Amino acid sequence: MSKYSIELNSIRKDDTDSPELKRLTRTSPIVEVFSSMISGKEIKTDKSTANKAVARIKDLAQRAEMFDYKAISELNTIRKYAVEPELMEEIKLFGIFGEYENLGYNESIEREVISTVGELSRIQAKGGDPVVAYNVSNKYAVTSEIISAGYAVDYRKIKYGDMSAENRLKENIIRDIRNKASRYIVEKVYDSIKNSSGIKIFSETAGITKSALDNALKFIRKFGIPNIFGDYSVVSQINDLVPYTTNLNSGYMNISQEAMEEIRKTGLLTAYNGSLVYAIQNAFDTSKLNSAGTGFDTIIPEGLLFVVPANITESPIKTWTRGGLDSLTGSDVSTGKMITRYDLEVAADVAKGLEYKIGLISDSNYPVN
Amino acid sequence: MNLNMNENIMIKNLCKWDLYFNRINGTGDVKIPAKTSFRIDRGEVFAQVQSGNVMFSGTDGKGNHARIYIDDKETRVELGFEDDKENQGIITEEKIKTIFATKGKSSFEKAVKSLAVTYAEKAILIDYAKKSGLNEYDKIKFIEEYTGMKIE
Repeated sequence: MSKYSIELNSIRKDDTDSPELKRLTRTSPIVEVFSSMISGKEIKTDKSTANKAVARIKDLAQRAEMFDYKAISELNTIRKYAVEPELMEEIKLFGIFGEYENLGYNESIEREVISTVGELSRIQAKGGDPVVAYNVSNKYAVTSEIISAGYAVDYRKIKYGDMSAENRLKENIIRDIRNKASRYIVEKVYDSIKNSSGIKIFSETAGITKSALDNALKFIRKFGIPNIFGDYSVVSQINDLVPYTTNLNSGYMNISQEAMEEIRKTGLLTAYNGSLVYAIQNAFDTSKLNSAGTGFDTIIPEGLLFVVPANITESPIKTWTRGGLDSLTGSDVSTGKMITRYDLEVAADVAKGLEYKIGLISDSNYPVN
Repeated sequence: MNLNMNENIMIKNLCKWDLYFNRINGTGDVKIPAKTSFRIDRGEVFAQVQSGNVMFSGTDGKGNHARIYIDDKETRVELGFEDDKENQGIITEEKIKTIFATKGKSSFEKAVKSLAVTYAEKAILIDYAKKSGLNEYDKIKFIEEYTGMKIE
């Protein structure tokens, strides 16, 4: 993996609020044309607008090639508007972990945990004193992390209207940021369960065993119907828990047709004992070998299976993004190339004192750190 | 040595949490609750170790830093976990006690790092530090930093 660096002196931030760029909005025709061009789709706007937009993009690229920062800034903004909705669509899937919220630039990330104290109700003699409950709220700030993805833009290609590199890079930005964000969240959740000193639903298994999963489900279900998620390596092992036998000595295993069809078509069960089963998209980090040296490390630890209650008013896990995508441009000292990077601010938190609401099963066949 | 594979032997879960594994020689799975012992046939233990279950075989395949301790000398020797000179390298309260009594800072840090490698061992270490009332600032600070867990 090659590393890049942006010389601090040369950094230019793309200010979308500058007067020149104010005219450019998410719904501008040029954004639509750019988006269609990079994804190789038919341009839906009328021909004269499309021609104008394409000419403008080419012109911008030509100026950008000569280090015109205004042109770079405008191109970056157009690209940002094209990439952002797709990325945010993926980020919204973090809802599977619990709550998800997208904040504006000027908001601070705070977690509020409300707990009810006192007695809610009791059985008593008629006319006796009533008991009351009240809420105690505990608010604390959550620190965020910036996830950046950057690349060297080939303005020469755009200048001539060749968008193949752009398409690939757009995909890369989305995939990369999404992967890193899910890793960040998973690690954060894992750490807080690890470090909590109270009750925790944690067990280790050599291969996911039925009793380990059932025990976790049994506990977590009291808080809400759980979702089960993790890497495909662990989630797919749930498939092996469904076959049943009517005669232990015969060795014949049965499986319901529906479950078999699901596994045959998708590789996964959609549900296990009433819980949604979901495989987090997890890619290889091809720059790192695994500990055995036989394959690659994955971005998210492979051996973790989470059991998290869903559809409850107060989910223990909450994730945030703040301010959407942000872009920067600078020149790389070693190669002399123009580098553009995109930043996304994410934060994740497990409500303090509620770690017991998350079940975690660690498969020792896939060691975690 | 000819060991009876049907004989039941004791295995012990050293961790703070429950451990599970699927049987190889039979059907179903095994649950060993936290810090308890479990009787199981020797054949199953051999099958688990030889199929590379890291709970038994540890980080190096020779039983060092294992999560489950086989409480049967003959089996351990036969599996190559230990010999006449050396015992299996697992975490025990006596070992932690000796380390906590170490005076020098660097020798203490070195000893902790070689004793507690896995997350399970780090949790045991923290647990013992709490239980024994470890009361030395430097040591607490180092253990917290090394394990990433808090002594509260």
